[in-house]
Amino acid sequence: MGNIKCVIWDLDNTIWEGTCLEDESVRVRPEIRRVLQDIHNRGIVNSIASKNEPIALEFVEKMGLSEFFVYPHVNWEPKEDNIRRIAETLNIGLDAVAFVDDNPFERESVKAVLPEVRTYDAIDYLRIPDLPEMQLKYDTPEARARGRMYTDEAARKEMENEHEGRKETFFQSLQMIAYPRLANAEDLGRIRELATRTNQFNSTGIRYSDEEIGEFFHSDDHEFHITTLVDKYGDYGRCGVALIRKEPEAWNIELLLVSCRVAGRGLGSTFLSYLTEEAASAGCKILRAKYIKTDRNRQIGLLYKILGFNKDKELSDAEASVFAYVLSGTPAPRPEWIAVERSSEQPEDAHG
Amino acid sequence: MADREWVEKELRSIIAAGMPDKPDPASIAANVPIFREGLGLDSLSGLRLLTTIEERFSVYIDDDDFDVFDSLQKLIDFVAERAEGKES
Repeated sequence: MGNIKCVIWDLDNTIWEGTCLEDESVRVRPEIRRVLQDIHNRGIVNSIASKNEPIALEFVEKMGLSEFFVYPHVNWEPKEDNIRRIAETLNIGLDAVAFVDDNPFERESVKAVLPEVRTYDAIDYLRIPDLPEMQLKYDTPEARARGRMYTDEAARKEMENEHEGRKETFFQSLQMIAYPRLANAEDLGRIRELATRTNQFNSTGIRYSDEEIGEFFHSDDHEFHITTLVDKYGDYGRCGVALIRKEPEAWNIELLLVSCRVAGRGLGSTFLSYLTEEAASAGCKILRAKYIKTDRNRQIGLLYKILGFNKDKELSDAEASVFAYVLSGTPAPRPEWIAVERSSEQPEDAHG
Repeated sequence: MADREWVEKELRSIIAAGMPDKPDPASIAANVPIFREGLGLDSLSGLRLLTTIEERFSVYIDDDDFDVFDSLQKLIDFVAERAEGKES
């Protein structure tokens, strides 16, 4: 079982003792703040699925706990629906979701409909941060800041919903800047983390071990490229990685990873366009990309098609497809709403 | 084989719903690429289109077949040939 990325909490008799609609003097459970903070510090997001009147959120606010929760769902709909919506909004799989509730009926009904979700009895809340599935596998700045990044993302999504008109205009208003570059030894932790965590935007689904990634990094005919992304709401950190196998006249993208938290913003195209430029300036005639279809990564295959990569039928076999881009002087197209700052250090605070 | 007219009408409304400015389905040009500078779909809206088509018509679009996105016309041909009848 993989690690948990989001813990979804019930409210009554879980976060606090008692039922807030019946008793206004409900008290938070001892040490719940510490528990939420511990979880948050590990880069795990806390959210809420509670059958309640919206006023319950005012109790959360009054108790000074709102800062810990992203995308709270307080309504009378089945919890499994709310859990599914929260996972979709966060763009994570249900197998990375934990659900905490005091009511065995709720836990069982979630388990019946969403068997991937791991459920916990609220009585055990103090032990939750210590469970093995709640530990940080890779201790990187991106991992520790993940809770905050999702809060930033919630602000962005709210803006996006309010923004009338075309997506392009909205994306322009975000003032996104990508900083693609050759990876260095300090990036290894983050590369390993993305290689483990990324499902949707993972071009092959191959899970390289930490050792294998180290070997690629030290190998003469391989290199990793990495990109960060910043916008006016915050810094997404290092969220795109490519593993390149170099031949004299061709570069081969053995693995392409883009963090799901920046999905749909055009970073994949931007990064691939940068790679076509890098390959061309290294004297290559062609940039190839390996693609192994999984049940979750079809968007990558489409992206290659969209950018003008064509399937190389000779090099493709039943297991893996190879897409090829002819480097004839024009880099692959990229969205105009992401500025690209190449071969330069990202400033400490790119958007002041 | 499915009814061509039906396939075309369905595809037009599915594509229109995925386009940034939600145009009138009947106004969509049949001979320009579905993606990018054609009808303006990106890989994310493209994925939604792909899965919607697959579910709606019970067809499968493999990466070998991605050329069908070169135009609405090609997409209609592809789906009409493989889909069975109107919806059940």
